[in-house]
Amino acid sequence: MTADIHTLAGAYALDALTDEELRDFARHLAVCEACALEVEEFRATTSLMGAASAETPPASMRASVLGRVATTPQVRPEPAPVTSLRQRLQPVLLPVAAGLVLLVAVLTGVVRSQQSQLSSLELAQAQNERALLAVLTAPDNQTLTMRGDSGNGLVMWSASAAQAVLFVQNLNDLSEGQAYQLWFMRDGVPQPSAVFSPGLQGRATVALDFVPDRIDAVAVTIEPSSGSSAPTGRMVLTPA
Amino acid sequence: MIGQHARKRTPRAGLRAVRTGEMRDATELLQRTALGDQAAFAELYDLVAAPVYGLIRRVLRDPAQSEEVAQEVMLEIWKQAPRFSSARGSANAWMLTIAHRRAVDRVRSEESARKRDDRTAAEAEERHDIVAEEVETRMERERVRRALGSLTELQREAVELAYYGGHTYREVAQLLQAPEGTVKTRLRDGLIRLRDELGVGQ
Repeated sequence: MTADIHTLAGAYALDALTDEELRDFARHLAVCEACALEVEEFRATTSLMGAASAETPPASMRASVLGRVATTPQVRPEPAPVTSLRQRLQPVLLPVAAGLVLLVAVLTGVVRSQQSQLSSLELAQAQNERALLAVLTAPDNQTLTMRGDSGNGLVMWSASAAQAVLFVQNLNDLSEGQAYQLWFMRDGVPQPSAVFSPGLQGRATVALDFVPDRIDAVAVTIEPSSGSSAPTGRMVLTPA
Repeated sequence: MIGQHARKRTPRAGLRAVRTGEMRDATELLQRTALGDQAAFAELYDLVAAPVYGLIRRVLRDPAQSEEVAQEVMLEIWKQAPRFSSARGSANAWMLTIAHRRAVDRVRSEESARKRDDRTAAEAEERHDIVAEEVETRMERERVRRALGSLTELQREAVELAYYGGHTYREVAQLLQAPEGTVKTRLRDGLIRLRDELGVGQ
């Protein structure tokens, strides 16, 4: 996934992307209103190119198609048409909102039990909330999801806000001296990002200050608690 | 732009108005089809079978394969009709997008890999064989031809190889011996130009 992913709109509308890029762009399209509109206009354009090639099909085809139609069931309509950006974002926002609620709950709980760490935790909480708000309200925010045998997660980021937020849940507890580490994949090369330890229900919400201008995918490995510069441990969450 | 159901039109009524009228008809028929109305689908077939078949034929060239894929596409239109939403584009764009995707899937599948090689070699010279050409089809064809003519050579070649040739932009870059990034950009700005020339922007 690139910072100039918008330029893929042309190749996408022409069905000229490779499978991998097609998945990336489809994901982008779900959250980028500008690209969705552009693709719609491009499709109207290419359909004129297509129609300009009109050619009468063999006459026998009509009876054959109409015959098959008589015995072919139709799909069910989608429950609700997706019309607005807000609706398109809902699947993303729901886990994000849940993450925020949990973040507050977890931090509050921890703060109550460990008064000595109050200030740093308050700071972390405020920082996470600021990052969350910045990313959620940025017009160019994008999301990459991850999945694993145990746990899943997503990274939402915005180039304009220069901010990213990581959410994970259902990660297993780790042994002493171990931590999870996030990696930004770019051109197949993992770039190290946050080192973190999940709390209740294997959840963690982490604000990430550094966002590369291009992220192809995100992944999580198990590393020494000091973190690594290149992945050494098992990949726990892989790009979904 | 679609054959057989010619509408009365004044010579300078404007192509936009003409096109809008036809698109509404396709939309209505598609919406009735979505309710399981087979008679509406039969009418829809008469409206779109020629563009669907013609586009597939343009990409695949082989008549037997084209007919097979066109049948699959028409059946797909029937099956998927309940999922069509006019909020996300015209009925024609929706149907021809399905047709193009299926043609491209077929051209990229292994079974036609060999045929594709032969086809690529012959691509430059071969002209599309037009069987039935009605006045309105000819007008649309001329309009699209003129719009394509307004592109730069690289834009036009890239768009045609991708759309009519069914090539990925990487293949297009190889065929034109141009950098992939350039081809990606030309495909987009070429389409922007075409969109504006054909007056389909919003």
